[in-house]
Amino acid sequence: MSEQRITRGRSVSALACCMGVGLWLFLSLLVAPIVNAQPTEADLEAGEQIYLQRCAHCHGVEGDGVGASTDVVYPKPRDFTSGVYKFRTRHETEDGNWLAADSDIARSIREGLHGSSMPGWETVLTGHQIDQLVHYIKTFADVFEEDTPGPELSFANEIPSSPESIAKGKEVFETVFECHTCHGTDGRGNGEEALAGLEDDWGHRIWPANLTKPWTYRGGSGRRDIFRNISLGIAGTPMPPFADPDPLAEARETDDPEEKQEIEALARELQENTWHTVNYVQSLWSYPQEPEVKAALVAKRVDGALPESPDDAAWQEAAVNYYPLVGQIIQEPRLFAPMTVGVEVQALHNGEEVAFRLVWDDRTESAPGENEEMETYVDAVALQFSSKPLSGMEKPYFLMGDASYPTDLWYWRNDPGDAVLTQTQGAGTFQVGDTAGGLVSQGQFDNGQYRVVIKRALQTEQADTEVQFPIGAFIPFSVTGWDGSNGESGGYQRTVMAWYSLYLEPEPSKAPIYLLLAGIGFGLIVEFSALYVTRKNHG
Amino acid sequence: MRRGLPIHLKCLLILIAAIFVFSVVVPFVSAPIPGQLYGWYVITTLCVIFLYVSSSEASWEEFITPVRNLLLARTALMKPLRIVVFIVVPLLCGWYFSTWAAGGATPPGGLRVIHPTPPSSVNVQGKRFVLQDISVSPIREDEAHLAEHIEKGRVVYYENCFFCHGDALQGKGHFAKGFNPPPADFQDTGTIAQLSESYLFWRIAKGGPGLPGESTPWDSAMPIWEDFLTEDEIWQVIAYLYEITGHEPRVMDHGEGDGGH
Repeated sequence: MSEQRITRGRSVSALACCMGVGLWLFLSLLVAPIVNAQPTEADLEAGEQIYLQRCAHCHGVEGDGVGASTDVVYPKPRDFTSGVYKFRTRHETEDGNWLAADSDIARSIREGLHGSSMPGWETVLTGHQIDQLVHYIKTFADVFEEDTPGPELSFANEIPSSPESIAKGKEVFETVFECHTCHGTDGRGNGEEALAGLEDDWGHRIWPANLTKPWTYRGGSGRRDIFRNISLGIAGTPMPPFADPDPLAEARETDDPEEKQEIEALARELQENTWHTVNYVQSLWSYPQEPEVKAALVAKRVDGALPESPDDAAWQEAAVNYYPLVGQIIQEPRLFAPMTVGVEVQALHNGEEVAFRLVWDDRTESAPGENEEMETYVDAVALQFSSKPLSGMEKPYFLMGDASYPTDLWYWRNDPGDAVLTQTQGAGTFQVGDTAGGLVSQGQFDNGQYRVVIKRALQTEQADTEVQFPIGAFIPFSVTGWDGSNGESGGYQRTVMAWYSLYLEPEPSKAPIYLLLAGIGFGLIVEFSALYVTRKNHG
Repeated sequence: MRRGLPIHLKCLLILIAAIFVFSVVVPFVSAPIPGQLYGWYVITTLCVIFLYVSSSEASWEEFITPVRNLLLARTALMKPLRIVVFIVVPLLCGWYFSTWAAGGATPPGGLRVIHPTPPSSVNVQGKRFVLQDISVSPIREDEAHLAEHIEKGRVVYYENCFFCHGDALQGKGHFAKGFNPPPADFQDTGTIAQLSESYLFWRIAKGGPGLPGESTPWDSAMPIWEDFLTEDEIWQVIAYLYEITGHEPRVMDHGEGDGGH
C-alpha cells in the first residue's frame, strides 16, 4: 500500500516536470515571433496586407490619415507620414524627433485609443501580426530610417496615493505644471486656453482631456500612463513634456559635490511632483471606469417637498444612474462628432410630484452667435417620455416618436433657464414649446458642468396627451442633449440614448416581514414533522 | 471492499459541480442563464441527487443515518447541535423567502425577436424586390468586377456603419454603447452567417423602423438606409461584410422540395 503511494508520488512529480517543460516550450513559442527587431521582406508584405484590410479606410492607403471615415470621426486618424506618435515611453531624440518605440505603437494597436474610434485589435490580430503591422506603418515615415527612438522614460520614485500626496499634487497641478490653464481647475478640460481654442499640429481644433472621465483617456488611465503623458507630453498636440531626457547631464560635468547634489535633488523632485500630480488626477475621477448602464432608474420615495435646487443635499439620497450619450447618426443631418460623453440622472418622488436631476459635463457655456467661425446655439437637455399611456411592450420611436406615438420632451436650455414642455411627432417636428406645462426647473453651469433639476406633478389634467407617472410601474424615459458650441440644435443635431425604465418606488410594503414569518413557519413545520416521523419509526 | 467517498461529500461535490457549470461554464460558452431558469436547473439537480441517494437501500441508510441521529439526539453532543439546527434552518428559510420576494426594480425583459420573418417583397427606392426570388446578390453576377464592388462596399461601411458595428465588425463601434438593443456583431456565427444576402438587403434598406412589432422597431437605432445609400451601395456593403468576416451567405434553395411558393 505505502509502496504504491510512493510510486504514485513519483509519477505525479514526473508529470509535473513534463508539464512545466511543455509550458515553457509553449511560452517561448509564443514569445519568439514578437522579439523580431529586424523585419524581413515577408513581414513587411504581410504588414501591408493587414494594413490595407484593417487600417487604410481610416488612416489612408498612403498612411497620411486621409481615409473614408476621416471626415466623420473626432479625434482624426493619425497621419503616419509624420512619424509623430502621441503615446510613447521614449524621450525626444537629440535631433528633436518624438519617435515611438515599436512596443509603444504595438500597444496602441493592441489596446486601441480609448474614447476614440480606434478600437483595440487584440481580439482580431495576433501579436505577430501586430508586430508586422508596426514594421509596415513605420515605412510611411522616413524619420524612422534617419533616427532611432530616444532614451526610455524612467518611472522611478513612485509615490503611492495619500491625502497628503493628493494635496501636494493639486498644488503642483495649479502652480508648477499649471495644468489647469488647459484642463480647468476641476479637470473637466475647460481651462482658459482650451476655451480660447487649441489646435493640433495639423490645424484641427482639439480639446484637452476631461480628467474626470478616465475611460476617455486615449492613451490609457493606468498610473504609468498618466505619468508618461505628463513627463513626455502628447506629441502633435499642445500638451507639453515636463521631463528632461537626461536630467543628470549637468551633474556629470560638474566637480562641485554640492552642485551635483542639488541637480540630483531637483531631478528627484520633478519625478516626485509628477507622481503627486498623478495621484491628484486620479482623485478627480468621477468613476474609475465607464459605469455599467442600469436598466431601471429608481425614483426613491421621500416625505415632504422635493428639492428644487440641483445642489440640495436631498439628492445625496437618490441613486445615480449614468448613461452614455452618443451622436444622432440615424437621420440626416447626422451628428458625427459629439462632445458630450454621458449624463448622470437621478430621480425622487413624494407621491405627488417627481423631480429629476441631470448632470453632464460641457466644456463651454454656449450662447447663440458667440463664435464667428461656426454657428453656435444654446446648450440644452431634455427628458423624453411617451405622451400617451402605453400598453403592452409598444413604445414611441426612440428618436422623438412619430405621428401615432408622440413624445413629451421636458426641454431645458441655459438661456433662458426655464424648462418648457415640447411635444414631438418625430425629429422633423421638433419645435421648442412655449409653455411650461407644469414644469418647474432650476439649472446652473459650474466650471464645465451643468446641473439641472426639473420637476412636475405625477398626474396632469391632460392624462391622454401628456406623460403620467403611475407609482410602481416601469415608465420608458430617455435623455437627449445639445452642446450649442458644437453646432448642436434642433431635432437632429444632438446626442441621444436608448429608452430605459423609470420606476417610482411604492410605499414601503409589509410583504417582506410576512414572508419572513412564513419562511420561519415553513422551516419549523418541516423540522418537527421530520422529528415526529423519525421518533415514531425509530425512537 | 472499496468504500470511496462518503455519500454526503459526493452529493455536495455533485451540487458544486452543477452550480459551477450553470454559473461559470455556460455563461462562458454561450450566455448567462436567466434567473428563473437557473432556479429550475438547481432544483432538477437536487432531484437527481435525491434519486441517486435513494437508489439503493444501503446508500439511503448511509445518507439518512446521521440525520436520524441528529433528530433523535442519541449522544450528548447531538443535543445542543439539534437546538442550533432547529433555530438556524427556519431562519434561513425566512431569509430566503423575504429576499426572494423583495426582488427590486427589475424591468420586465422584453421578448424581442432578433431575426424576424422577412416580408415576401419590399419596395426600395420605388423598385419592387421579391426577396425569395433573389438567391444571390445581383452584383455577384458581375463576377469580373466583384473585387471592385467589395472595395466600394468597404468605403460604404467606413462612411456609414462602423460608428456602431465597429472597426472590427463585432458590434462594438464608438457609438454602440448608446443603443439598446446593441448593434449586431457580424463576426458572430449567429448573425449574417445565418442569413441570406436578400435578408440583409431588406434589413439594411428598411432599417429599424421597417421591423415588425415583435422586433421592437421603436428601440432599434438602425437607420433606414435607402434614404442614404443607392441600391448598388447596399449590395456592395453586403458583399464586403461577407468577404471581411469570412462567412458564407445562406443561399435560397430553389431546387426540388421547394414547393412553398
